[in-house]
Amino acid sequence: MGSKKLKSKKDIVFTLVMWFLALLMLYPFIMMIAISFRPSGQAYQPLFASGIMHTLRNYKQVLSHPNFTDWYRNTIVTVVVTIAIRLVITILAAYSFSRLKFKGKKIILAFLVATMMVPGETTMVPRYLYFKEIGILNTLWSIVLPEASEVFYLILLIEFFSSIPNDFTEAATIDGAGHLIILSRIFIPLSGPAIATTVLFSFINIWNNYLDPYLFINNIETQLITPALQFFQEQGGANMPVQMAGSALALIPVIILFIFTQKYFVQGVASSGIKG
Amino acid sequence: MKRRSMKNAEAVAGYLLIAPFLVMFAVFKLYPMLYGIAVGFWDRNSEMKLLDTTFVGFENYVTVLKSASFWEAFGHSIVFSVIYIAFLMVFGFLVAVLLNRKFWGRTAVRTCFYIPYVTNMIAIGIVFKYLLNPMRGPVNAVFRLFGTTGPGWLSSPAMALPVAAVIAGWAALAFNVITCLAALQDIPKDMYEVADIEGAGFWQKLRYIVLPYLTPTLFMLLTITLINSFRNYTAIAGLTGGGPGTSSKVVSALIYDDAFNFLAFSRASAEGVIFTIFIIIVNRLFTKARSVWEARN
Repeated sequence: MGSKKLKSKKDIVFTLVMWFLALLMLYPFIMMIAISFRPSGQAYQPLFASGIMHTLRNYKQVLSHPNFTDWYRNTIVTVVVTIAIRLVITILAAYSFSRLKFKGKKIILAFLVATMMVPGETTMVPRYLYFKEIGILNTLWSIVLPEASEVFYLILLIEFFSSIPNDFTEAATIDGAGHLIILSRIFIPLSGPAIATTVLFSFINIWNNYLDPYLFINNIETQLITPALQFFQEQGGANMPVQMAGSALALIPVIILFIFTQKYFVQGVASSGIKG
Repeated sequence: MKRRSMKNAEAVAGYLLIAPFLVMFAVFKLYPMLYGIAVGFWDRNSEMKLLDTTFVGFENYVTVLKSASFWEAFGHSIVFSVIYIAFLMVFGFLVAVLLNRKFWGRTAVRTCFYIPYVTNMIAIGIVFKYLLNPMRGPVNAVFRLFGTTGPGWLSSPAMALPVAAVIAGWAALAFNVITCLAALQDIPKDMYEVADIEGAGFWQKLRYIVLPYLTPTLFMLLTITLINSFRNYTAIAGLTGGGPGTSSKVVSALIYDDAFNFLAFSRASAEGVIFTIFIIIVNRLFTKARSVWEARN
Protein backbone atom coordinates (compact mmCIF):
# COMPACT_ATOMS: atom_id res chain seq x y z
CA MET A 1 0.00 0.00 0.00
CA GLY A 2 2.59 2.46 1.17
CA SER A 3 4.92 1.88 -1.76
CA LYS A 4 2.07 2.18 -4.22
CA LYS A 5 1.13 5.56 -2.81
CA LEU A 6 4.75 6.65 -2.99
CA LYS A 7 4.90 5.53 -6.59
CA SER A 8 1.81 7.48 -7.58
CA LYS A 9 3.22 10.57 -5.85
CA LYS A 10 6.39 10.14 -7.89
CA ASP A 11 4.28 9.74 -11.02
CA ILE A 12 2.46 13.00 -10.35
CA VAL A 13 5.74 14.84 -9.92
CA PHE A 14 7.07 13.28 -13.13
CA THR A 15 3.91 14.25 -15.02
CA LEU A 16 4.14 17.83 -13.76
CA VAL A 17 7.82 18.06 -14.74
CA MET A 18 7.07 16.77 -18.25
CA TRP A 19 4.24 19.28 -18.70
CA PHE A 20 6.51 22.04 -17.49
CA LEU A 21 9.16 21.00 -20.05
CA ALA A 22 6.50 20.89 -22.77
CA LEU A 23 5.48 24.46 -21.91
CA LEU A 24 9.14 25.47 -22.00
CA MET A 25 9.42 24.02 -25.54
CA LEU A 26 6.35 26.03 -26.55
CA TYR A 27 7.39 29.20 -24.69
CA PRO A 28 8.98 30.87 -27.76
CA PHE A 29 5.81 30.25 -29.77
CA ILE A 30 3.56 31.45 -26.92
CA MET A 31 5.61 34.66 -26.79
CA MET A 32 5.42 35.00 -30.58
CA ILE A 33 1.61 34.89 -30.50
CA ALA A 34 1.34 37.11 -27.40
CA ILE A 35 3.66 39.84 -28.74
CA SER A 36 2.02 39.75 -32.18
CA PHE A 37 -1.16 41.20 -30.65
CA ARG A 38 0.59 44.07 -28.81
CA PRO A 39 1.23 47.65 -29.82
CA SER A 40 4.94 48.16 -30.53
CA GLY A 41 5.41 50.30 -27.42
CA GLN A 42 4.56 47.33 -25.18
CA ALA A 43 6.63 44.70 -27.02
CA TYR A 44 9.04 44.16 -24.13
CA GLN A 45 6.52 44.21 -21.26
CA PRO A 46 6.32 40.90 -19.32
CA LEU A 47 3.88 38.24 -20.53
CA PHE A 48 1.33 38.85 -17.77
CA ALA A 49 2.02 42.56 -17.15
CA SER A 50 -0.98 44.70 -16.27
CA GLY A 51 -2.27 47.30 -18.67
CA ILE A 52 -1.34 45.40 -21.85
CA MET A 53 -3.39 46.52 -24.82
CA HIS A 54 -4.38 44.10 -27.58
CA THR A 55 -4.54 45.05 -31.20
CA LEU A 56 -4.93 43.47 -34.63
CA ARG A 57 -2.92 46.29 -36.18
CA ASN A 58 0.22 44.15 -36.68
CA TYR A 59 -1.67 41.48 -38.58
CA LYS A 60 -3.38 44.16 -40.65
CA GLN A 61 0.03 45.64 -41.47
CA VAL A 62 1.42 42.26 -42.54
CA LEU A 63 -1.63 41.33 -44.60
CA SER A 64 -1.71 44.73 -46.27
CA HIS A 65 1.89 44.42 -47.47
CA PRO A 66 1.53 44.70 -51.27
CA ASN A 67 3.37 41.39 -51.83
CA PHE A 68 2.08 39.27 -48.95
CA THR A 69 -0.46 37.35 -51.04
CA ASP A 70 2.22 36.88 -53.75
CA TRP A 71 4.56 35.22 -51.24
CA TYR A 72 1.84 32.93 -49.97
CA ARG A 73 0.68 31.99 -53.47
CA ASN A 74 4.27 31.45 -54.69
CA THR A 75 4.96 29.18 -51.74
CA ILE A 76 1.83 27.10 -52.30
CA VAL A 77 2.51 26.82 -56.06
CA THR A 78 6.14 25.80 -55.43
CA VAL A 79 5.14 23.22 -52.82
CA VAL A 80 2.41 21.67 -54.99
CA VAL A 81 4.38 21.57 -58.26
CA THR A 82 7.54 20.23 -56.58
CA ILE A 83 5.65 17.50 -54.77
CA ALA A 84 3.88 16.46 -57.98
CA ILE A 85 7.10 16.14 -60.01
CA ARG A 86 8.98 14.62 -57.08
CA LEU A 87 6.33 11.93 -56.54
CA VAL A 88 6.21 10.87 -60.18
CA ILE A 89 9.94 10.58 -60.82
CA THR A 90 10.73 9.17 -57.38
CA ILE A 91 8.01 6.49 -57.44
CA LEU A 92 9.15 5.31 -60.90
CA ALA A 93 12.79 5.17 -59.83
CA ALA A 94 12.02 3.53 -56.48
CA TYR A 95 10.02 0.79 -58.22
CA SER A 96 12.88 0.14 -60.60
CA PHE A 97 15.53 0.08 -57.86
CA SER A 98 13.50 -2.19 -55.58
CA ARG A 99 12.04 -4.66 -58.11
CA LEU A 100 13.99 -4.79 -61.38
CA LYS A 101 17.41 -6.26 -62.14
CA PHE A 102 19.82 -4.22 -64.23
CA LYS A 103 23.55 -3.64 -64.39
CA GLY A 104 25.06 -0.88 -62.27
CA LYS A 105 22.04 -0.62 -59.97
CA LYS A 106 24.03 -0.88 -56.76
CA ILE A 107 26.73 1.55 -57.90
CA ILE A 108 24.21 4.17 -59.02
CA LEU A 109 22.34 3.93 -55.73
CA ALA A 110 25.52 4.07 -53.64
CA PHE A 111 26.64 7.13 -55.58
CA LEU A 112 23.29 8.88 -55.07
CA VAL A 113 23.43 8.16 -51.33
CA ALA A 114 27.01 9.47 -51.13
CA THR A 115 25.94 12.82 -52.62
CA MET A 116 23.61 13.32 -49.65
CA MET A 117 26.75 14.20 -47.68
CA VAL A 118 27.29 17.39 -49.67
CA PRO A 119 25.34 20.26 -48.08
CA GLY A 120 23.64 22.85 -50.31
CA GLU A 121 25.71 25.40 -48.40
CA THR A 122 29.00 24.47 -50.05
CA THR A 123 27.57 24.44 -53.59
CA MET A 124 25.60 27.68 -53.39
CA VAL A 125 27.94 29.63 -55.68
CA PRO A 126 28.08 27.19 -58.64
CA ARG A 127 24.34 26.63 -58.32
CA TYR A 128 23.75 30.38 -58.48
CA LEU A 129 26.07 30.86 -61.49
CA TYR A 130 24.64 27.85 -63.34
CA PHE A 131 21.00 28.79 -62.74
CA LYS A 132 21.83 32.29 -63.95
CA GLU A 133 23.35 30.86 -67.15
CA ILE A 134 20.37 28.62 -67.92
CA GLY A 135 17.99 31.48 -67.15
CA ILE A 136 15.94 30.12 -64.25
CA LEU A 137 17.14 32.68 -61.71
CA ASN A 138 14.31 34.78 -60.25
CA THR A 139 11.71 32.19 -61.26
CA LEU A 140 10.08 29.52 -59.12
CA TRP A 141 11.73 26.90 -61.37
CA SER A 142 15.01 27.65 -59.58
CA ILE A 143 13.40 26.04 -56.50
CA VAL A 144 11.18 23.41 -58.14
CA LEU A 145 13.61 21.76 -60.58
CA PRO A 146 16.54 21.15 -58.17
CA GLU A 147 14.13 20.00 -55.43
CA ALA A 148 12.45 17.43 -57.70
CA SER A 149 15.13 14.74 -57.34
CA GLU A 150 15.84 14.30 -53.63
CA VAL A 151 17.70 11.10 -52.77
CA PHE A 152 16.19 11.03 -49.25
CA TYR A 153 12.69 10.34 -50.63
CA LEU A 154 14.04 7.82 -53.11
CA ILE A 155 15.54 5.81 -50.24
CA LEU A 156 12.34 6.16 -48.22
CA LEU A 157 10.22 4.74 -51.06
CA ILE A 158 12.75 2.02 -51.96
CA GLU A 159 12.65 0.82 -48.35
CA PHE A 160 8.87 0.73 -48.45
CA PHE A 161 8.56 -0.93 -51.87
CA SER A 162 11.09 -3.58 -50.84
CA SER A 163 8.84 -4.54 -47.94
CA ILE A 164 5.96 -5.42 -50.30
CA PRO A 165 5.96 -9.24 -50.65
CA ASN A 166 6.87 -10.70 -54.05
CA ASP A 167 3.69 -12.81 -54.10
CA PHE A 168 1.69 -9.67 -54.74
CA THR A 169 3.46 -8.97 -58.00
CA GLU A 170 4.17 -12.50 -59.25
CA ALA A 171 0.55 -13.20 -60.15
CA ALA A 172 0.34 -9.97 -62.08
CA THR A 173 3.62 -10.67 -63.87
CA ILE A 174 2.38 -14.09 -65.00
CA ASP A 175 -0.75 -12.40 -66.33
CA GLY A 176 1.61 -10.35 -68.43
CA ALA A 177 0.90 -7.02 -66.83
CA GLY A 178 3.43 -4.30 -67.63
CA HIS A 179 5.49 -2.54 -65.01
CA LEU A 180 3.39 0.61 -65.09
CA ILE A 181 0.24 -1.42 -64.48
CA ILE A 182 1.86 -3.34 -61.59
CA LEU A 183 3.06 -0.04 -60.21
CA SER A 184 -0.27 1.76 -60.43
CA ARG A 185 -2.55 -1.17 -59.50
CA ILE A 186 -0.47 -2.83 -56.78
CA PHE A 187 2.39 -0.68 -55.47
CA ILE A 188 0.80 2.73 -55.25
CA PRO A 189 -2.42 1.55 -53.52
CA LEU A 190 -0.30 -0.36 -50.96
CA SER A 191 2.05 2.56 -50.34
CA GLY A 192 -0.38 5.03 -48.81
CA PRO A 193 1.65 5.61 -45.63
CA ALA A 194 4.98 6.02 -47.48
CA ILE A 195 3.48 8.42 -50.00
CA ALA A 196 1.76 10.37 -47.22
CA THR A 197 5.10 10.67 -45.42
CA THR A 198 6.79 11.87 -48.61
CA VAL A 199 4.12 14.51 -49.20
CA LEU A 200 4.20 15.67 -45.58
CA PHE A 201 8.00 15.91 -45.32
CA SER A 202 8.20 17.61 -48.70
CA PHE A 203 5.57 20.15 -47.70
CA ILE A 204 7.35 21.03 -44.45
CA ASN A 205 10.84 21.19 -45.98
CA ILE A 206 9.92 23.23 -49.04
CA TRP A 207 7.73 25.60 -47.02
CA ASN A 208 10.55 26.22 -44.54
CA ASN A 209 13.34 26.40 -47.13
CA TYR A 210 15.28 29.62 -46.73
CA LEU A 211 18.69 29.36 -48.39
CA ASP A 212 17.63 28.46 -51.94
CA PRO A 213 14.89 31.07 -52.47
CA TYR A 214 17.04 33.63 -50.67
CA LEU A 215 19.87 32.93 -53.14
CA PHE A 216 17.98 32.43 -56.37
CA ILE A 217 15.06 34.85 -56.13
CA ASN A 218 15.88 38.52 -56.02
CA ASN A 219 12.65 40.26 -56.93
CA ILE A 220 10.22 40.85 -54.12
CA GLU A 221 7.07 39.68 -55.89
CA THR A 222 8.52 36.24 -56.79
CA GLN A 223 9.80 35.53 -53.25
CA LEU A 224 8.54 32.72 -50.98
CA ILE A 225 7.12 33.26 -47.51
CA THR A 226 10.04 32.08 -45.33
CA PRO A 227 12.77 34.31 -46.84
CA ALA A 228 10.17 37.09 -47.22
CA LEU A 229 10.01 37.41 -43.42
CA GLN A 230 13.19 39.48 -43.78
CA PHE A 231 11.18 42.25 -45.46
CA PHE A 232 9.33 42.90 -42.21
CA GLN A 233 12.65 43.15 -40.41
CA GLU A 234 13.80 45.83 -42.81
CA GLN A 235 10.49 47.55 -43.23
CA GLY A 236 9.52 47.61 -39.55
CA GLY A 237 13.03 48.20 -38.20
CA ALA A 238 12.65 47.49 -34.51
CA ASN A 239 8.95 46.79 -34.86
CA MET A 240 8.91 43.45 -33.02
CA PRO A 241 5.13 42.86 -32.98
CA VAL A 242 4.91 43.12 -36.80
CA GLN A 243 7.77 40.63 -37.21
CA MET A 244 6.04 38.28 -34.76
CA ALA A 245 2.73 38.57 -36.65
CA GLY A 246 4.51 37.80 -39.94
CA SER A 247 6.29 34.82 -38.39
CA ALA A 248 3.04 33.49 -36.92
CA LEU A 249 1.32 33.71 -40.32
CA ALA A 250 4.24 31.87 -41.93
CA LEU A 251 4.17 29.09 -39.33
CA ILE A 252 0.43 28.49 -38.99
CA PRO A 253 -0.14 26.30 -42.11
CA VAL A 254 2.81 24.03 -41.29
CA ILE A 255 1.91 23.64 -37.61
CA ILE A 256 -1.75 22.89 -38.38
CA LEU A 257 -0.75 20.36 -41.04
CA PHE A 258 1.71 18.78 -38.61
CA ILE A 259 -0.78 18.44 -35.76
CA PHE A 260 -3.24 16.57 -37.99
CA THR A 261 -0.67 14.30 -39.63
CA GLN A 262 1.70 13.66 -36.74
CA LYS A 263 1.28 9.90 -37.12
CA TYR A 264 2.81 9.89 -40.62
CA PHE A 265 5.49 12.31 -39.54
CA VAL A 266 6.59 10.06 -36.66
CA GLN A 267 6.44 6.96 -38.89
CA GLY A 268 8.52 8.72 -41.51
CA VAL A 269 11.26 9.83 -39.13
CA ALA A 270 11.32 6.45 -37.41
CA SER A 271 11.56 4.47 -40.64
CA SER A 272 14.12 6.77 -42.27
CA GLY A 273 16.08 6.68 -39.04
CA ILE A 274 16.15 3.04 -37.99
CA LYS A 275 17.16 1.65 -41.36
CA GLY A 276 19.64 4.45 -41.77
CA MET B 1 17.21 -17.47 -75.70
CA LYS B 2 13.76 -16.47 -74.47
CA ARG B 3 14.98 -16.09 -70.90
CA ARG B 4 17.78 -13.85 -72.06
CA SER B 5 15.45 -11.51 -73.95
CA MET B 6 13.21 -11.30 -70.90
CA LYS B 7 16.20 -10.36 -68.82
CA ASN B 8 17.11 -7.69 -71.35
CA ALA B 9 13.58 -6.35 -71.35
CA GLU B 10 13.72 -6.10 -67.57
CA ALA B 11 16.99 -4.18 -67.72
CA VAL B 12 15.63 -1.82 -70.37
CA ALA B 13 12.55 -1.15 -68.23
CA GLY B 14 14.82 -0.68 -65.23
CA TYR B 15 16.87 2.00 -66.94
CA LEU B 16 13.82 3.71 -68.45
CA LEU B 17 12.11 4.00 -65.08
CA ILE B 18 15.11 5.50 -63.28
CA ALA B 19 15.87 7.83 -66.21
CA PRO B 20 13.58 10.75 -65.25
CA PHE B 21 14.99 10.86 -61.72
CA LEU B 22 18.59 10.46 -62.87
CA VAL B 23 18.27 13.11 -65.58
CA MET B 24 16.80 15.65 -63.14
CA PHE B 25 19.48 14.74 -60.60
CA ALA B 26 22.31 15.01 -63.11
CA VAL B 27 21.16 18.32 -64.58
CA PHE B 28 20.13 20.18 -61.42
CA LYS B 29 22.15 18.60 -58.62
CA LEU B 30 25.23 16.75 -59.85
CA TYR B 31 26.29 19.16 -62.59
CA PRO B 32 26.35 22.22 -60.26
CA MET B 33 28.48 20.24 -57.77
CA LEU B 34 31.07 19.47 -60.45
CA TYR B 35 30.75 22.95 -61.92
CA GLY B 36 31.84 24.34 -58.54
CA ILE B 37 35.18 22.55 -58.83
CA ALA B 38 35.67 24.10 -62.28
CA VAL B 39 34.64 27.62 -61.27
CA GLY B 40 37.38 27.42 -58.64
CA PHE B 41 39.95 27.12 -61.45
CA TRP B 42 38.70 30.26 -63.23
CA ASP B 43 39.14 33.91 -62.36
CA ARG B 44 35.57 35.00 -61.79
CA ASN B 45 36.35 37.32 -58.93
CA SER B 46 34.31 40.37 -59.81
CA GLU B 47 30.94 41.11 -61.32
CA MET B 48 32.48 41.98 -64.69
CA LYS B 49 34.20 38.61 -64.69
CA LEU B 50 31.10 36.65 -63.78
CA LEU B 51 31.51 34.44 -66.87
CA ASP B 52 35.26 34.96 -67.29
CA THR B 53 37.10 32.05 -68.88
CA THR B 54 40.67 32.81 -67.81
CA PHE B 55 42.10 29.61 -66.40
CA VAL B 56 44.14 30.35 -63.28
CA GLY B 57 44.89 26.83 -62.07
CA PHE B 58 45.05 26.35 -58.34
CA GLU B 59 45.39 30.08 -57.59
CA ASN B 60 42.00 30.42 -55.89
CA TYR B 61 42.48 27.21 -53.91
CA VAL B 62 45.89 28.38 -52.70
CA THR B 63 44.53 31.84 -51.81
CA VAL B 64 41.79 30.24 -49.73
CA LEU B 65 44.14 27.87 -47.91
CA LYS B 66 46.42 30.80 -47.06
CA SER B 67 43.68 33.19 -45.94
CA ALA B 68 43.13 33.83 -42.25
CA SER B 69 39.41 34.48 -42.77
CA PHE B 70 38.90 30.96 -44.15
CA TRP B 71 40.59 29.28 -41.20
CA GLU B 72 38.71 31.49 -38.75
CA ALA B 73 35.40 30.48 -40.36
CA PHE B 74 36.60 26.87 -40.48
CA GLY B 75 37.18 26.96 -36.72
CA HIS B 76 33.74 28.48 -36.16
CA SER B 77 32.14 25.71 -38.23
CA ILE B 78 33.89 23.06 -36.12
CA VAL B 79 32.75 24.73 -32.87
CA PHE B 80 29.20 24.99 -34.20
CA SER B 81 29.15 21.34 -35.29
CA VAL B 82 30.64 19.99 -32.05
CA ILE B 83 28.14 21.86 -29.85
CA TYR B 84 25.21 21.07 -32.16
CA ILE B 85 26.09 17.35 -32.27
CA ALA B 86 26.74 17.10 -28.51
CA PHE B 87 23.47 18.87 -27.68
CA LEU B 88 21.40 16.70 -30.02
CA MET B 89 23.00 13.38 -29.06
CA VAL B 90 22.65 13.99 -25.30
CA PHE B 91 19.24 15.65 -25.19
CA GLY B 92 17.74 13.61 -28.03
CA PHE B 93 18.46 10.48 -26.02
CA LEU B 94 17.44 11.86 -22.59
CA VAL B 95 14.18 13.40 -23.81
CA ALA B 96 13.31 10.13 -25.58
CA VAL B 97 13.89 8.17 -22.35
CA LEU B 98 11.60 10.60 -20.49
CA LEU B 99 8.90 10.56 -23.18
CA ASN B 100 8.98 6.75 -23.26
CA ARG B 101 7.63 6.56 -19.70
CA LYS B 102 3.87 6.49 -19.29
CA PHE B 103 2.23 9.63 -17.88
CA TRP B 104 -0.97 11.60 -18.23
CA GLY B 105 -1.11 13.52 -21.52
CA ARG B 106 2.00 11.93 -23.03
CA THR B 107 0.82 12.29 -26.64
CA ALA B 108 0.17 16.02 -26.24
CA VAL B 109 3.53 16.54 -24.51
CA ARG B 110 5.26 14.70 -27.37
CA THR B 111 3.56 17.02 -29.87
CA CYS B 112 4.90 20.04 -27.95
CA PHE B 113 8.42 18.63 -28.24
CA TYR B 114 8.05 18.06 -31.99
CA ILE B 115 6.64 21.46 -33.00
CA PRO B 116 9.96 23.38 -33.16
CA TYR B 117 11.16 20.84 -35.77
CA VAL B 118 8.50 21.83 -38.31
CA THR B 119 8.92 25.59 -37.89
CA ASN B 120 11.34 27.63 -39.96
CA MET B 121 14.63 28.93 -38.53
CA ILE B 122 13.94 32.51 -39.61
CA ALA B 123 10.80 32.77 -37.46
CA ILE B 124 12.64 30.98 -34.65
CA GLY B 125 15.48 33.49 -35.07
CA ILE B 126 13.10 36.45 -34.77
CA VAL B 127 11.63 35.10 -31.52
CA PHE B 128 14.96 34.14 -29.94
CA LYS B 129 16.52 37.51 -30.78
CA TYR B 130 13.58 38.99 -28.88
CA LEU B 131 13.77 36.56 -25.92
CA LEU B 132 17.55 36.93 -25.59
CA ASN B 133 17.68 40.71 -26.06
CA PRO B 134 20.35 41.61 -23.45
CA MET B 135 18.73 44.82 -22.21
CA ARG B 136 15.00 44.26 -22.56
CA GLY B 137 14.40 40.57 -23.25
CA PRO B 138 12.45 38.34 -20.83
CA VAL B 139 15.37 35.93 -20.28
CA ASN B 140 17.65 38.57 -18.84
CA ALA B 141 14.72 39.99 -16.87
CA VAL B 142 14.91 36.75 -14.85
CA PHE B 143 18.59 37.47 -14.14
CA ARG B 144 17.70 40.96 -12.95
CA LEU B 145 15.11 39.44 -10.64
CA PHE B 146 18.01 37.78 -8.84
CA GLY B 147 19.99 41.02 -8.78
CA THR B 148 22.55 40.09 -11.46
CA THR B 149 23.03 41.14 -15.05
CA GLY B 150 22.43 38.45 -17.64
CA PRO B 151 24.93 37.66 -20.38
CA GLY B 152 24.86 39.23 -23.85
CA TRP B 153 23.75 35.95 -25.54
CA LEU B 154 23.60 36.46 -29.30
CA SER B 155 25.18 39.91 -29.13
CA SER B 156 28.22 38.75 -27.17
CA PRO B 157 31.23 37.81 -29.35
CA ALA B 158 32.14 34.97 -26.98
CA MET B 159 28.63 33.50 -26.71
CA ALA B 160 26.93 34.12 -30.07
CA LEU B 161 28.30 31.01 -31.80
CA PRO B 162 27.62 28.44 -29.04
CA VAL B 163 24.19 29.95 -28.31
CA ALA B 164 23.28 29.78 -32.01
CA ALA B 165 24.43 26.14 -32.14
CA VAL B 166 22.26 25.24 -29.12
CA ILE B 167 19.19 26.98 -30.58
CA ALA B 168 19.73 25.18 -33.90
CA GLY B 169 20.00 21.93 -31.92
CA TRP B 170 16.81 22.75 -30.00
CA ALA B 171 15.00 23.28 -33.32
CA ALA B 172 16.21 19.92 -34.67
CA LEU B 173 15.63 17.93 -31.48
CA ALA B 174 12.48 16.10 -32.62
CA PHE B 175 14.31 14.03 -35.23
CA ASN B 176 16.68 12.55 -32.65
CA VAL B 177 13.90 12.11 -30.08
CA ILE B 178 11.56 10.28 -32.47
CA THR B 179 14.35 8.01 -33.72
CA CYS B 180 15.44 7.12 -30.17
CA LEU B 181 11.82 6.58 -29.10
CA ALA B 182 11.26 4.14 -31.97
CA ALA B 183 14.37 2.21 -30.90
CA LEU B 184 13.34 2.28 -27.22
CA GLN B 185 9.98 0.74 -28.11
CA ASP B 186 11.81 -2.15 -29.76
CA ILE B 187 13.46 -3.20 -26.49
CA PRO B 188 11.71 -6.42 -25.35
CA LYS B 189 9.54 -5.81 -22.28
CA ASP B 190 10.89 -8.89 -20.44
CA MET B 191 14.35 -7.27 -20.34
CA TYR B 192 12.90 -4.68 -17.94
CA GLU B 193 11.06 -7.36 -15.98
CA VAL B 194 14.26 -9.31 -15.43
CA ALA B 195 15.96 -6.09 -14.33
CA ASP B 196 13.10 -5.36 -11.91
CA ILE B 197 13.41 -8.82 -10.37
CA GLU B 198 17.16 -8.31 -9.99
CA GLY B 199 16.39 -5.01 -8.29
CA ALA B 200 18.11 -2.75 -10.81
CA GLY B 201 17.53 0.97 -10.39
CA PHE B 202 16.72 3.54 -13.09
CA TRP B 203 20.34 4.38 -13.87
CA GLN B 204 21.42 0.74 -13.93
CA LYS B 205 18.67 -0.07 -16.41
CA LEU B 206 19.78 2.86 -18.52
CA ARG B 207 23.39 1.74 -18.45
CA TYR B 208 22.99 -2.04 -18.90
CA ILE B 209 19.80 -2.40 -20.97
CA VAL B 210 18.88 0.80 -22.78
CA LEU B 211 22.31 2.01 -23.90
CA PRO B 212 23.55 -1.31 -25.36
CA TYR B 213 20.25 -1.73 -27.21
CA LEU B 214 20.37 1.79 -28.59
CA THR B 215 24.02 1.85 -29.64
CA PRO B 216 23.37 1.06 -33.34
CA THR B 217 20.63 3.71 -33.45
CA LEU B 218 22.87 6.27 -31.75
CA PHE B 219 25.67 5.60 -34.23
CA MET B 220 23.26 6.06 -37.12
CA LEU B 221 21.92 9.27 -35.54
CA LEU B 222 25.47 10.52 -35.07
CA THR B 223 26.10 10.06 -38.80
CA ILE B 224 22.96 11.99 -39.75
CA THR B 225 23.54 14.71 -37.13
CA LEU B 226 27.13 15.12 -38.31
CA ILE B 227 25.99 15.68 -41.90
CA ASN B 228 23.19 18.04 -40.81
CA SER B 229 25.55 20.07 -38.61
CA PHE B 230 27.14 21.51 -41.76
CA ARG B 231 23.76 22.69 -43.06
CA ASN B 232 23.97 25.70 -40.79
CA TYR B 233 23.57 28.77 -43.03
CA THR B 234 19.93 29.45 -42.17
CA ALA B 235 20.50 29.15 -38.41
CA ILE B 236 23.42 31.57 -38.49
CA ALA B 237 21.65 33.98 -40.87
CA GLY B 238 18.50 33.94 -38.75
CA LEU B 239 20.18 34.24 -35.35
CA THR B 240 23.43 36.20 -35.60
CA GLY B 241 24.09 37.11 -39.23
CA GLY B 242 27.65 35.88 -38.54
CA GLY B 243 28.26 38.54 -35.92
CA PRO B 244 28.98 40.34 -33.74
CA GLY B 245 31.90 41.22 -35.99
CA THR B 246 32.91 37.87 -37.46
CA SER B 247 32.59 35.97 -34.18
CA SER B 248 29.98 33.51 -35.45
CA LYS B 249 30.84 33.56 -39.16
CA VAL B 250 30.89 29.89 -40.20
CA VAL B 251 32.19 28.65 -43.58
CA SER B 252 28.73 28.78 -45.20
CA ALA B 253 28.38 32.44 -44.16
CA LEU B 254 31.89 33.17 -45.46
CA ILE B 255 31.06 31.56 -48.82
CA TYR B 256 27.90 33.66 -49.06
CA ASP B 257 29.70 36.85 -48.13
CA ASP B 258 32.65 36.32 -50.47
CA ALA B 259 30.38 35.48 -53.39
CA PHE B 260 27.46 37.83 -53.03
CA ASN B 261 28.91 40.80 -51.13
CA PHE B 262 32.49 40.81 -52.45
CA LEU B 263 31.62 39.13 -55.80
CA ALA B 264 34.62 36.80 -55.52
CA PHE B 265 32.70 33.89 -57.05
CA SER B 266 35.70 31.72 -57.88
CA ARG B 267 37.27 32.11 -54.45
CA ALA B 268 33.92 31.34 -52.81
CA SER B 269 33.57 28.25 -55.04
CA ALA B 270 37.03 27.11 -53.99
CA GLU B 271 36.04 27.57 -50.34
CA GLY B 272 33.00 25.39 -50.97
CA VAL B 273 35.05 22.67 -52.65
CA ILE B 274 37.68 22.62 -49.92
CA PHE B 275 35.05 22.43 -47.20
CA THR B 276 33.16 19.68 -49.06
CA ILE B 277 36.39 17.65 -49.23
CA PHE B 278 36.78 18.18 -45.48
CA ILE B 279 33.20 16.98 -44.86
CA ILE B 280 33.78 13.86 -46.98
CA ILE B 281 37.02 13.06 -45.10
CA VAL B 282 35.32 13.50 -41.71
CA ASN B 283 32.51 11.19 -42.83
CA ARG B 284 34.95 8.56 -44.10
CA LEU B 285 36.92 8.68 -40.86
CA PHE B 286 33.74 8.39 -38.84
CA THR B 287 32.53 5.41 -40.87
CA LYS B 288 35.94 3.75 -40.40
CA ALA B 289 35.90 4.38 -36.65
CA ARG B 290 32.37 3.02 -36.46
CA SER B 291 33.22 -0.22 -38.27
CA VAL B 292 36.35 -0.71 -36.13
CA TRP B 293 34.26 -0.18 -32.99
CA GLU B 294 31.54 -2.55 -34.21
CA ALA B 295 34.10 -5.24 -35.07
CA ARG B 296 35.49 -5.01 -31.56
CA ASN B 297 32.12 -5.38 -29.82
